[in-house]
Amino acid sequence: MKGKINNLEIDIKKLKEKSEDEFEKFFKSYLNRIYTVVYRVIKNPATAEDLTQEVMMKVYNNIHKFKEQSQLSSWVYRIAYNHAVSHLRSHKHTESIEDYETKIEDGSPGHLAHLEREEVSNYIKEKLMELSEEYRVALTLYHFKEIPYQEIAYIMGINIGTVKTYIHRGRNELKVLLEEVIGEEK
Amino acid sequence: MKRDVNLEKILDYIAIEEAPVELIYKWKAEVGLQKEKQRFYVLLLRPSIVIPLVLAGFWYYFALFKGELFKYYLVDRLHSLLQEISPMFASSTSSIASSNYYIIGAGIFSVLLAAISLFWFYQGKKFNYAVVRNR
Repeated sequence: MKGKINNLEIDIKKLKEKSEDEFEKFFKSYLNRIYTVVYRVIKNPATAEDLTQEVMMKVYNNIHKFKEQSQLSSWVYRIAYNHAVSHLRSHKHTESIEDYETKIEDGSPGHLAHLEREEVSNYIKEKLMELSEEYRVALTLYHFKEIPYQEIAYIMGINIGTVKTYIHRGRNELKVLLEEVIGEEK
Repeated sequence: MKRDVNLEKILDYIAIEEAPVELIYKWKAEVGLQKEKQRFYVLLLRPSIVIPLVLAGFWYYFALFKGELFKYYLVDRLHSLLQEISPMFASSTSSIASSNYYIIGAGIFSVLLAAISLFWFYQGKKFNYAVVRNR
């Protein structure tokens, strides 16, 4: 069976036969997204890299368990999300100590007025990371653009209503955090 | 000072993080390593390795922990059996029995068993690699 994801023709049969070329093709297209899901949960780039590596091996070793009832990408995101969350739970204490922070030196709103788009993006990214884990993951998946609510619910193991609530609340909390920075939205 | 920023657009823009491309190469290396391990374990499970190991296990168990039983079967029973076949064999085993060096016999037997199993292993190795590669 062939699945077309993001204009990428992926032969699921070949994946199940453990074709390394097919996996490479898939991972090359989805690496950033898989890493993002893990990073948004973990908040530490080095740990996120290690966990992404583990997720890739997990996907490779368990592809035969993929029942094709969802998108392949969603199945992979679900593995990534669960893996990251279980890592976070088992290393909660150490992670909180090592928590990676990329705060810019002067975070005052006055300073932000002079920042360029890239810097504003980084600032918003920082604020996004300050939201609770569920909110930032739901918001991130929503802004991947290709994933409907139903698939987000499947990835996070919650119902659609909760997904909508997380996205709504996450967006509102982010607006509050950015209140001093952002003017009228267009 | 506020800026006119469209949050939705910015969120779209920052939604995807950039992962290091090396992760793909690391994954490939790990897959290669895993395959090598699998090949090794499949070879380890070959009957030509498992059977001699199990037999040697029994052999050393009896030799070390059930010495009397071992001696009875290896020396006394074997002696009487060989005596029936040929008095020449019987005299050699009786000398072993009388000198109590039955462990030497065990050693010779083990070496012989190992040599046979190695021969068996190398004979079948080529065939087995082909089987594993086609998995």
